[in-house]
Amino acid sequence: MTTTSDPTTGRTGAGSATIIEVSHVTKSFVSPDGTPLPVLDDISLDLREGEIVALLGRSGSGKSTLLRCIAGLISPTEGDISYRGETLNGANPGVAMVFQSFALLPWLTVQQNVELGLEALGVGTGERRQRAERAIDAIGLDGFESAYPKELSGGMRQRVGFARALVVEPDALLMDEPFSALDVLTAQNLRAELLRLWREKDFPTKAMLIVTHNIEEAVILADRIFVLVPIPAGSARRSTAHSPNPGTGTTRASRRWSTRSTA
Amino acid sequence: MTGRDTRPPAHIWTVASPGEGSPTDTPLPQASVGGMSGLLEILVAHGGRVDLPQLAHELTFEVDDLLPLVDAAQVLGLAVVDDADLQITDEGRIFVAADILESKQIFALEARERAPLVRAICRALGATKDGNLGEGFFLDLLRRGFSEEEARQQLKIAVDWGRYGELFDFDANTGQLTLDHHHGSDGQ
Repeated sequence: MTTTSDPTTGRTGAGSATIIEVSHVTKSFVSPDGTPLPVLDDISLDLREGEIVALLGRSGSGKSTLLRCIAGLISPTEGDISYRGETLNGANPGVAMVFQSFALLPWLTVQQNVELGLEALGVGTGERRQRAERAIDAIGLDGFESAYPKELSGGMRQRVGFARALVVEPDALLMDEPFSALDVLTAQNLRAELLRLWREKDFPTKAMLIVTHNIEEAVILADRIFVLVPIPAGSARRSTAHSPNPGTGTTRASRRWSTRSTA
Repeated sequence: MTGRDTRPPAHIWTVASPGEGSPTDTPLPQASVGGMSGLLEILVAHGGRVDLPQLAHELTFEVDDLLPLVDAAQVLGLAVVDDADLQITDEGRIFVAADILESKQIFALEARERAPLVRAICRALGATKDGNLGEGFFLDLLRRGFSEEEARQQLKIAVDWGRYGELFDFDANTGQLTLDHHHGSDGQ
């Protein structure tokens, strides 16, 4: 099975600049008895401007490991990953991440949690506050600025997760099962809000990559889907590219670049 | 405890206009705004009317789990239940189609008018000099109709709704509720 995506299926991204390129990546961990445990085997994929890509696979299929490699949090055993043509050597400078578990600091307020991402970038206090307020407004969190995470419903907590990632205006947004800890209806609502933001002309993020085990979610959100499939040899996974719904993908892309779907 | 002499009289709480429920006889349903919005989005996607047991089945929800969300939508006038069908209202359609800021404004307006505890909190805060009251004031009043746990739960829901609508804020460190003067006061 080949691992490169078919150019004819990548409808929305075709011709657009590549943001992230994963090329023949293999990742093994070492078990306590010293034998290597392969998790990813020869994975290649790309993320281009203007598209949402889903990484679909069962739990334990290596999706999150791949996402962490792309974020530069762990390095691949073989192969390489590049951001805007530069091979990664450490944290990926163009991405921000949203986690399934929200990953908020319980002793900080919503505002402080959102500012955290900017603090790490060395942004000054005044600008930090302004940018955090913008991100908080965009994701519908205004009114909750002084709340602590434990006071919030799951949906609102994940909105904080999104605000904290979006506040840095990442080139690409990486999401690791961002809706899986939410009930169906709350997830539906937050997905719709995310798509609404994505379709706004001045949304600074150029591409999104979502890891999910939910086929329906992948089809609703993504322009292209990579499926991580088991190969007979063991736990390693290969990716195959699918264009789930070319109609939807094309429509979304043209909406994005020509007219806005809502006023 | 500086707020003691500025406390509004308790009748603000209990006297309701004809047709208005009071916070103790019409408790807030245990629903998050996100969950209720998701329900309304799905309702609109189904053409605006849907059989509740069938919808619950589709969503793999128990009908009982869906009911607080349905109640919330009803309290706010965004949907009505007719037989076993849930039907979107005109206001509900506007709410779903609106962008996030508009939908928050609609939510604020409806919550302040129609959700008894939210309305009572806005009025009580509006009757103070500085728009501040301790949570104890509201818990005391809620305990007349609810157990301790229920009273706290009711206040928690009201704070969640009040924050979402930017009607009032709550400081968990000091236990103070504060009116948001842009949206929370009656403006009449």
